[in-house]
Formats: sequence, structure tokens, C-alpha cells
Amino acid sequence: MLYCDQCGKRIPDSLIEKLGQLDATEPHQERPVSNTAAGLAEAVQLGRSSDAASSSARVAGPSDSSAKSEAGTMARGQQMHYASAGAPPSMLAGRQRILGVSLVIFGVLIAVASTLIGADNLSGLGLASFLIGLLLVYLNSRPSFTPEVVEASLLSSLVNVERIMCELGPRSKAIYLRIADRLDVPMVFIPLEMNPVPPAGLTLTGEDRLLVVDSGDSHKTGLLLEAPGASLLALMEKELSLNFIDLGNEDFLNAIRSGMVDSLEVAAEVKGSVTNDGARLRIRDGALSSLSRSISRLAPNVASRLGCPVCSAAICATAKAVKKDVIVEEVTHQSGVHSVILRFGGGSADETS
Amino acid sequence: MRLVERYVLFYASVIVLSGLLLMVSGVKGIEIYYAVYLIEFLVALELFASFRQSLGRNLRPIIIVFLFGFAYTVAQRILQVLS
Repeated sequence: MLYCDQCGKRIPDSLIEKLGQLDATEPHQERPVSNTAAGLAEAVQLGRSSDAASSSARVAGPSDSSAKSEAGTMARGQQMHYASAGAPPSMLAGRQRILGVSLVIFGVLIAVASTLIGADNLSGLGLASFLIGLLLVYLNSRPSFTPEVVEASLLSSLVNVERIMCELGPRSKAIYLRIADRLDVPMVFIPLEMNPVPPAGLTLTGEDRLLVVDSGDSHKTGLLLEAPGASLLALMEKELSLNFIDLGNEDFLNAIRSGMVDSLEVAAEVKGSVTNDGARLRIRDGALSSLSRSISRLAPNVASRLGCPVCSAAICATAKAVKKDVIVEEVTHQSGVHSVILRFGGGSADETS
Repeated sequence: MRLVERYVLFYASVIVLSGLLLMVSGVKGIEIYYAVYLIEFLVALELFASFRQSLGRNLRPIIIVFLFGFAYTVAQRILQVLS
């Protein structure tokens, strides 16, 4: 169900279908999409192939489900991915299962044959084949989710954050608040006041409101959100069994690398450097590349000011390790690479890379 | 390649190699093969689980099955010695 962003009325499905038919008969051309109901419908029919279309479609009505409208794009992306990879994940899982069962049967047959012909030392190889097969079958029977499912489950909530930011926040820089305690959840503050030079050292600990209003200091009036990557950071810490608060400035980059590349496999490569004043991170996309692309297209404010969940987890880890407020100077997502430039809210940190 | 796939591949290579080595050395007792494979499984798991704790948790049922098998071979050997 789609709504016109100008008059707020629902766009009839028949109109969308009609526009789709018209579009199918006409040759496809690149053209600007206006911020109107027709433009919106056109954007949907074109599968939101262009950034302009998606950005205009974003300001839709209250029941606009981004996951639903994104389904076409995702399905197409999935098909392209499978075409390049060779087979969809379910087919690969099926093949693994067949391989596992074959190895189990092969192992049993070898063990039986070795007993029958009296070649006892062959049974060792039969046992090896049996165990590998068992492992393959067992690991295959565990539920696993494709990146597309992760993307579909995350996208709507991030688009909601985007809408809140569009509604309330000016283009001010987000501040990841200092984490003092190991159990603290990483929070990010978006001042409603334009802040070319954000205050160093915000004292917002203990605040649990979404909208913080400080009549004395306009810089302290803003949105206080849980960081989009806070849960990812928690999972990373759990998998690595460490806490970033215990790490020094020298170690946390390596820990981010192990956590994101080796453990969670959400990134293919993490590089970075830390100075006294700030940090620069460069993250090459891993399994969640389509999620990052979708977020930068559908929630550009979230992507460029808070960071996508992957960038945000890295920023949270930095804030936790350096134990300072971290101001997000710049976050960009281009051609599969996330570039993050951070500034620390005072204090000292050793040069590391 | 995913971590789980790397783990399976690593373990498969290790046990095939050690199996061949034991076979060439003339080892005939299946319980020796079993014990070696079990030790290799646990060592490989420890190496890979340092990157991902959940891998160890996920493979816990397999470890239990392995240990039951090991207990069975040990019990058999004890009965053999006693008789």
C-alpha cells in the first residue's frame, strides 16, 4: 500500500498497475522521478533502480513497508547473485547433505569390507569417512539464514530510524557516547542543534529518553538512540569472548578485524589507523554487502550519520576501547567499501595502524 | 569460505592424513584410530572456536557422541583386560 507524500492519500493499486503497463510498453529511459504519487508509483514499477527514485519514494505513507517494496529489488539481486555464484544456498546445502550421507555410507561399507576381507587397517579410513560425513550432515541440519533474510528483517526498523531523523534532526554530527561500564549499551546522540563543533564530553549517562531536552544547553538537546551496531558488537564480543573496554588503543583494531572478518564474517577486510585525535576505519564488505547498499539507498541519513550496522559496530567498538565520546565526522559507503572518519572528544590515544 | 566450512575441510584433511599415516605404520586397532580422530577433532575445534565461541556450542552434541564412543571403547578394553 503506497501513499502520496504530498496529499497523503492512498495510491490506488489500479493506477500503479496502469503505470506499470505503460512503462512496460515504453522503452526504459533514465529520467528524474518527481516527488509525487505518479513518481512514487513509477519508482515502484521501475524496481527502484535509481537512487533518485528510491529517495523520493522514501517519504511514503504510514503503512509503507520497505521490506515489501524492496522485495523486487532483492529478488532480482538474489537471482543475479545465484547466477554468478552457481547455485542458491538451499541447493548448496542439499549437495552438502548428499555428500555427508554418501561419506557415512562409504565409511560403513569400507568398515564392513575391511572386516570381511580381514584388512583391519582399512577400517581406520572407513571410520574417518564416517566421521566427516556425520559432521557434514549435522552441520547442515542446523538452521542458517541467507544475507537476504537478515537484510529483510533489519531494513524496516532502520528506515523508521531514518524517518525519525528526517523529521527531527538537522544535519548535525552524531556522537557515540563514551562507555564507562562494561555492561553499558552503546548509545548515539544526535543533537537537534546544528553542531559544526560538537561539545567534547557529553554527560548523558543514565538518560533513558529518546528525546533529550536540555533548556540550558541547546547542544544537549537531541535524539538519544541505541547505536545501530550495538547488538552486532555484543555478538562480536560474545563470539570472541572479550570485552572491548578491556582493550587498549593498540589492540582494538585487531579485535575488530578478528570479530568482523574471521568470526562474524560480516566484512572481508578491516583496516584502520588511530591517532590522538581520532580514527579512520576502512571496512570492505562481506556477506552483508547488499544490506549496506540498501541502507545507503533507503536510509541515507542513517548510513551517513550513524553508519550502517557494520560501521556502527566498529564505531561502538572504538568508543568502548578508547573510552571517549566519538564524533562521527564522515561515513561513506562506496563500491563495497565503508570509510569511517572519527574524531575523539578529547584525551589522548597512541598512534596505531 | 565460511569458518564452518574451513573447519570441516581442515578436520577432514587432518584425519585423512593421520589415518593414512597410522595405516602405513601398521596400526590395526580401530580404537587407536578413534582416539586419534577424537583428539584431532577437539584440537581443531579449540583452534577454530577461538574465533567463534558459538562453533563450540553448536558442536557440543557431536562432542558428546564422540565421547560416548570413546567411553564404549575404553569400557570394552577394560572388560577385555579383566577377562
